[in-house]
Amino acid sequence: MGMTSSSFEDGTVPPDQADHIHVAQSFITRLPFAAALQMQLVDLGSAYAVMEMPVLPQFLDANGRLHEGALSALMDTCAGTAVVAHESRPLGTATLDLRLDFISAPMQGRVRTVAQCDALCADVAFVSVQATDLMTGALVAKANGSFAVEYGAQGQGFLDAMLQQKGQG
Amino acid sequence: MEFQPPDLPFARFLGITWFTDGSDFCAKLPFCPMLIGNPLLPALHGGVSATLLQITAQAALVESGNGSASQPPRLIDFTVDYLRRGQPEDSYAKARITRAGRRFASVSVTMWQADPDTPIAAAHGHFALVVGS
Repeated sequence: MGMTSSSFEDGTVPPDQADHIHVAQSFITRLPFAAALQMQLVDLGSAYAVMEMPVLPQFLDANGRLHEGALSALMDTCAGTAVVAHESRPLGTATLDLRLDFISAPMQGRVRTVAQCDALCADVAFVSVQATDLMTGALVAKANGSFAVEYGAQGQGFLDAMLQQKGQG
Repeated sequence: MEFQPPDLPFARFLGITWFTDGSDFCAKLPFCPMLIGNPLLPALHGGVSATLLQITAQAALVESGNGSASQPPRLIDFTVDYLRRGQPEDSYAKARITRAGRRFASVSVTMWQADPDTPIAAAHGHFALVVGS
Protein backbone atom coordinates (compact mmCIF):
# COMPACT_ATOMS: atom_id res chain seq x y z
CA MET A 1 0.00 0.00 0.00
CA GLY A 2 3.04 2.25 -0.18
CA MET A 3 3.17 2.98 3.53
CA THR A 4 6.75 4.12 3.23
CA SER A 5 6.43 5.91 -0.11
CA SER A 6 7.41 9.20 1.51
CA SER A 7 10.51 7.91 3.32
CA PHE A 8 14.06 7.47 2.10
CA GLU A 9 15.20 3.97 1.15
CA ASP A 10 17.06 3.58 4.45
CA GLY A 11 13.80 4.25 6.32
CA THR A 12 14.65 7.76 7.52
CA VAL A 13 12.31 10.66 6.80
CA PRO A 14 13.52 13.72 4.85
CA PRO A 15 13.97 16.74 7.20
CA ASP A 16 11.29 18.96 5.55
CA GLN A 17 8.81 16.16 5.70
CA ALA A 18 9.57 15.34 9.33
CA ASP A 19 8.71 19.01 10.05
CA HIS A 20 5.47 18.68 8.09
CA ILE A 21 4.42 15.54 9.97
CA HIS A 22 5.30 17.22 13.26
CA VAL A 23 3.30 20.42 12.64
CA ALA A 24 0.37 18.52 11.12
CA GLN A 25 0.29 16.16 14.13
CA SER A 26 0.37 19.06 16.59
CA PHE A 27 -2.55 20.66 14.67
CA ILE A 28 -4.54 17.40 14.76
CA THR A 29 -3.88 17.15 18.52
CA ARG A 30 -5.50 20.59 18.87
CA LEU A 31 -8.73 19.41 17.18
CA PRO A 32 -10.84 18.47 20.22
CA PHE A 33 -12.68 15.52 18.64
CA ALA A 34 -9.52 14.11 17.03
CA ALA A 35 -7.79 14.38 20.43
CA ALA A 36 -10.76 12.74 22.21
CA LEU A 37 -10.46 9.79 19.83
CA GLN A 38 -6.64 9.76 20.28
CA MET A 39 -6.00 10.05 16.55
CA GLN A 40 -2.37 10.06 15.53
CA LEU A 41 -0.73 11.02 12.24
CA VAL A 42 1.95 8.46 11.38
CA ASP A 43 2.91 9.44 7.83
CA LEU A 44 2.34 12.30 5.45
CA GLY A 45 3.35 12.53 1.80
CA SER A 46 2.23 14.34 -1.33
CA ALA A 47 -1.62 14.08 -1.32
CA TYR A 48 -1.22 11.18 1.08
CA ALA A 49 -1.77 10.67 4.83
CA VAL A 50 -1.63 7.72 7.24
CA MET A 51 -3.34 7.88 10.63
CA GLU A 52 -3.99 5.51 13.53
CA MET A 53 -6.45 5.27 16.40
CA PRO A 54 -6.66 2.88 19.37
CA VAL A 55 -9.76 0.69 19.82
CA LEU A 56 -10.81 1.80 23.33
CA PRO A 57 -13.83 0.52 25.34
CA GLN A 58 -15.67 3.86 25.00
CA PHE A 59 -15.44 3.66 21.16
CA LEU A 60 -17.33 0.33 20.90
CA ASP A 61 -20.79 -0.63 19.59
CA ALA A 62 -23.38 -3.01 21.13
CA ASN A 63 -21.39 -6.06 20.00
CA GLY A 64 -18.04 -4.96 21.42
CA ARG A 65 -16.62 -3.90 18.06
CA LEU A 66 -15.24 -0.49 17.08
CA HIS A 67 -18.26 1.72 16.33
CA GLU A 68 -18.66 2.78 12.69
CA GLY A 69 -18.98 6.40 13.84
CA ALA A 70 -15.51 6.44 15.41
CA LEU A 71 -14.15 4.87 12.23
CA SER A 72 -15.99 7.47 10.12
CA ALA A 73 -14.37 10.25 12.15
CA LEU A 74 -10.88 8.81 11.64
CA MET A 75 -11.41 8.26 7.88
CA ASP A 76 -12.82 11.78 7.44
CA THR A 77 -9.87 13.34 9.30
CA CYS A 78 -7.31 11.25 7.40
CA ALA A 79 -8.93 12.15 4.05
CA GLY A 80 -8.94 15.88 4.88
CA THR A 81 -5.27 15.67 5.89
CA ALA A 82 -4.40 14.05 2.52
CA VAL A 83 -6.16 16.97 0.77
CA VAL A 84 -4.15 19.69 2.56
CA ALA A 85 -0.98 17.68 1.80
CA HIS A 86 -1.71 18.05 -1.95
CA GLU A 87 1.08 19.69 -3.96
CA SER A 88 -1.23 22.62 -4.91
CA ARG A 89 -0.89 23.74 -1.25
CA PRO A 90 -4.52 24.11 -0.11
CA LEU A 91 -5.09 26.29 2.97
CA GLY A 92 -8.08 24.29 4.15
CA THR A 93 -10.75 21.80 3.21
CA ALA A 94 -14.30 20.77 4.13
CA THR A 95 -16.02 17.44 3.53
CA LEU A 96 -18.79 17.64 0.90
CA ASP A 97 -19.72 13.99 1.08
CA LEU A 98 -18.30 10.72 2.30
CA ARG A 99 -19.40 7.23 1.34
CA LEU A 100 -18.22 4.48 3.67
CA ASP A 101 -18.29 0.68 3.33
CA PHE A 102 -17.97 -1.24 6.61
CA ILE A 103 -16.40 -4.68 6.23
CA SER A 104 -15.24 -6.04 9.61
CA ALA A 105 -14.58 -3.91 12.67
CA PRO A 106 -11.91 -4.88 15.23
CA MET A 107 -12.68 -5.53 18.91
CA GLN A 108 -9.28 -4.37 20.19
CA GLY A 109 -5.87 -3.13 19.11
CA ARG A 110 -5.45 -0.29 16.65
CA VAL A 111 -6.83 0.72 13.27
CA ARG A 112 -4.75 2.40 10.59
CA THR A 113 -6.17 4.50 7.77
CA VAL A 114 -4.40 5.36 4.53
CA ALA A 115 -5.87 8.24 2.51
CA GLN A 116 -4.91 9.25 -1.01
CA CYS A 117 -6.18 12.36 -2.73
CA ASP A 118 -6.68 10.81 -6.21
CA ALA A 119 -7.58 14.03 -8.03
CA LEU A 120 -7.98 17.73 -7.32
CA CYS A 121 -9.80 19.75 -9.96
CA ALA A 122 -11.75 23.05 -9.85
CA ASP A 123 -11.42 23.36 -6.04
CA VAL A 124 -12.84 19.89 -5.43
CA ALA A 125 -10.66 17.03 -4.19
CA PHE A 126 -11.54 13.35 -4.61
CA VAL A 127 -10.14 11.10 -1.92
CA SER A 128 -10.09 7.35 -1.26
CA VAL A 129 -9.40 5.90 2.19
CA GLN A 130 -8.77 2.38 3.43
CA ALA A 131 -8.83 1.26 7.06
CA THR A 132 -7.06 -1.88 8.25
CA ASP A 133 -6.80 -3.76 11.54
CA LEU A 134 -3.20 -3.22 12.57
CA MET A 135 -3.02 -6.56 14.43
CA THR A 136 -4.45 -8.84 11.72
CA GLY A 137 -3.97 -6.74 8.58
CA ALA A 138 -7.66 -7.33 7.73
CA LEU A 139 -9.54 -4.70 5.73
CA VAL A 140 -11.88 -2.90 8.16
CA ALA A 141 -13.54 -0.30 5.93
CA LYS A 142 -13.10 1.73 2.78
CA ALA A 143 -14.39 5.14 1.88
CA ASN A 144 -14.57 7.65 -0.94
CA GLY A 145 -15.23 11.32 -0.43
CA SER A 146 -15.31 14.67 -2.19
CA PHE A 147 -13.91 17.70 -0.44
CA ALA A 148 -14.21 21.46 -1.07
CA VAL A 149 -10.73 22.99 -1.24
CA GLU A 150 -9.78 26.53 -0.19
CA TYR A 151 -6.63 28.39 -1.11
CA GLY A 152 -4.96 31.27 0.72
CA ALA A 153 -4.70 34.74 -0.84
CA GLN A 154 -0.89 34.57 -1.10
CA GLY A 155 -0.83 30.94 -2.15
CA GLN A 156 0.28 29.95 1.35
CA GLY A 157 -0.75 26.40 2.12
CA PHE A 158 -1.97 24.79 5.34
CA LEU A 159 1.39 23.19 6.11
CA ASP A 160 3.25 26.47 5.34
CA ALA A 161 0.93 28.30 7.75
CA MET A 162 1.52 25.68 10.43
CA LEU A 163 5.32 25.82 9.97
CA GLN A 164 5.25 29.63 10.14
CA GLN A 165 3.12 29.54 13.29
CA LYS A 166 5.56 27.09 14.85
CA GLY A 167 8.48 29.39 13.94
CA GLN A 168 6.74 32.35 15.61
CA GLY A 169 5.63 30.35 18.62
CA MET B 1 -40.94 5.32 27.01
CA GLU B 2 -41.16 1.55 26.41
CA PHE B 3 -38.66 1.39 23.61
CA GLN B 4 -35.06 0.67 24.61
CA PRO B 5 -32.50 2.00 22.10
CA PRO B 6 -29.30 -0.03 21.59
CA ASP B 7 -26.86 0.56 24.46
CA LEU B 8 -23.73 1.71 22.69
CA PRO B 9 -20.59 2.75 24.58
CA PHE B 10 -19.75 5.21 21.78
CA ALA B 11 -23.23 6.83 21.97
CA ARG B 12 -22.76 7.25 25.75
CA PHE B 13 -19.27 8.67 25.13
CA LEU B 14 -20.78 11.38 22.88
CA GLY B 15 -23.83 11.94 25.14
CA ILE B 16 -26.63 11.03 22.70
CA THR B 17 -30.15 10.95 24.20
CA TRP B 18 -33.58 10.07 22.78
CA PHE B 19 -36.99 11.73 22.68
CA THR B 20 -40.26 11.51 20.77
CA ASP B 21 -41.71 14.36 18.75
CA GLY B 22 -45.36 13.38 18.24
CA SER B 23 -45.13 9.94 16.67
CA ASP B 24 -41.54 10.58 15.50
CA PHE B 25 -38.57 9.07 17.26
CA CYS B 26 -35.59 11.48 17.45
CA ALA B 27 -32.03 11.64 18.75
CA LYS B 28 -30.49 14.58 20.56
CA LEU B 29 -26.78 15.32 20.84
CA PRO B 30 -26.20 18.09 23.41
CA PHE B 31 -23.27 20.28 22.48
CA CYS B 32 -20.00 19.85 24.36
CA PRO B 33 -16.54 21.25 23.45
CA MET B 34 -15.15 17.74 22.74
CA LEU B 35 -17.37 17.53 19.61
CA ILE B 36 -15.52 20.34 17.81
CA GLY B 37 -13.53 19.27 14.75
CA ASN B 38 -12.22 22.63 13.64
CA PRO B 39 -11.59 25.06 16.54
CA LEU B 40 -10.79 27.96 14.17
CA LEU B 41 -14.35 28.23 12.75
CA PRO B 42 -15.55 26.59 15.15
CA ALA B 43 -17.44 23.65 13.63
CA LEU B 44 -18.59 20.20 14.74
CA HIS B 45 -16.37 17.35 13.53
CA GLY B 46 -17.76 15.57 10.46
CA GLY B 47 -17.32 12.30 12.33
CA VAL B 48 -19.70 13.56 15.03
CA SER B 49 -22.41 14.19 12.44
CA ALA B 50 -21.77 10.82 10.79
CA THR B 51 -22.05 9.07 14.18
CA LEU B 52 -25.30 10.80 15.18
CA LEU B 53 -26.83 9.94 11.78
CA GLN B 54 -25.70 6.29 11.95
CA ILE B 55 -26.92 5.74 15.51
CA THR B 56 -30.29 7.37 14.75
CA ALA B 57 -30.79 5.21 11.65
CA GLN B 58 -29.93 2.05 13.59
CA ALA B 59 -32.20 2.94 16.55
CA ALA B 60 -35.11 3.67 14.18
CA LEU B 61 -34.80 0.12 12.82
CA VAL B 62 -34.78 -1.38 16.32
CA GLU B 63 -37.76 0.81 17.29
CA SER B 64 -39.72 -0.57 14.31
CA GLY B 65 -39.03 -4.17 15.33
CA ASN B 66 -35.90 -4.96 13.31
CA GLY B 67 -33.28 -6.45 15.59
CA SER B 68 -33.06 -5.75 19.31
CA ALA B 69 -31.21 -3.41 21.65
CA SER B 70 -28.60 -6.10 22.31
CA GLN B 71 -28.47 -7.31 18.67
CA PRO B 72 -29.09 -4.21 16.57
CA PRO B 73 -28.90 -4.28 12.74
CA ARG B 74 -25.33 -4.08 11.40
CA LEU B 75 -24.32 -1.12 9.25
CA ILE B 76 -23.13 -2.16 5.77
CA ASP B 77 -22.57 1.19 4.08
CA PHE B 78 -23.34 4.83 4.75
CA THR B 79 -23.26 7.98 2.60
CA VAL B 80 -23.21 11.37 4.32
CA ASP B 81 -23.90 14.72 2.60
CA TYR B 82 -22.52 17.62 4.58
CA LEU B 83 -24.96 20.45 3.81
CA ARG B 84 -23.97 23.18 6.27
CA ARG B 85 -21.30 23.76 8.88
CA GLY B 86 -22.25 22.22 12.24
CA GLN B 87 -22.47 25.09 14.76
CA PRO B 88 -21.31 24.65 18.37
CA GLU B 89 -24.86 23.98 19.60
CA ASP B 90 -27.26 21.08 20.26
CA SER B 91 -27.99 18.75 17.30
CA TYR B 92 -30.94 16.53 16.48
CA ALA B 93 -31.61 13.70 14.01
CA LYS B 94 -34.57 11.76 12.69
CA ALA B 95 -34.62 8.68 10.44
CA ARG B 96 -37.05 7.39 7.82
CA ILE B 97 -37.00 3.72 6.89
CA THR B 98 -37.22 3.46 3.10
CA ARG B 99 -37.51 -0.31 3.11
CA ALA B 100 -36.89 -3.07 5.64
CA GLY B 101 -36.98 -6.50 4.01
CA ARG B 102 -36.10 -9.89 5.44
CA ARG B 103 -32.31 -9.52 5.29
CA PHE B 104 -31.56 -5.87 4.48
CA ALA B 105 -32.90 -2.40 5.20
CA SER B 106 -32.45 0.99 3.58
CA VAL B 107 -32.71 4.06 5.82
CA SER B 108 -32.55 7.84 5.21
CA VAL B 109 -31.71 10.19 8.04
CA THR B 110 -31.35 13.95 8.49
CA MET B 111 -29.65 16.09 11.12
CA TRP B 112 -30.49 19.68 12.14
CA GLN B 113 -29.71 22.18 14.86
CA ALA B 114 -31.82 25.29 15.67
CA ASP B 115 -34.29 24.86 12.80
CA PRO B 116 -35.74 21.42 11.88
CA ASP B 117 -36.36 22.72 8.34
CA THR B 118 -32.68 23.61 7.86
CA PRO B 119 -30.78 20.31 7.81
CA ILE B 120 -27.01 20.45 8.32
CA ALA B 121 -26.41 16.87 7.12
CA ALA B 122 -28.35 14.15 5.33
CA ALA B 123 -27.41 10.51 4.96
CA HIS B 124 -28.52 7.22 3.48
CA GLY B 125 -27.39 3.80 4.62
CA HIS B 126 -27.91 0.07 4.33
CA PHE B 127 -28.14 -2.34 7.25
CA ALA B 128 -27.99 -6.13 7.52
CA LEU B 129 -30.96 -7.27 9.63
CA VAL B 130 -29.73 -10.82 10.22
CA VAL B 131 -26.86 -10.25 12.62
CA GLY B 132 -24.25 -12.97 12.67
CA SER B 133 -22.09 -13.61 15.72
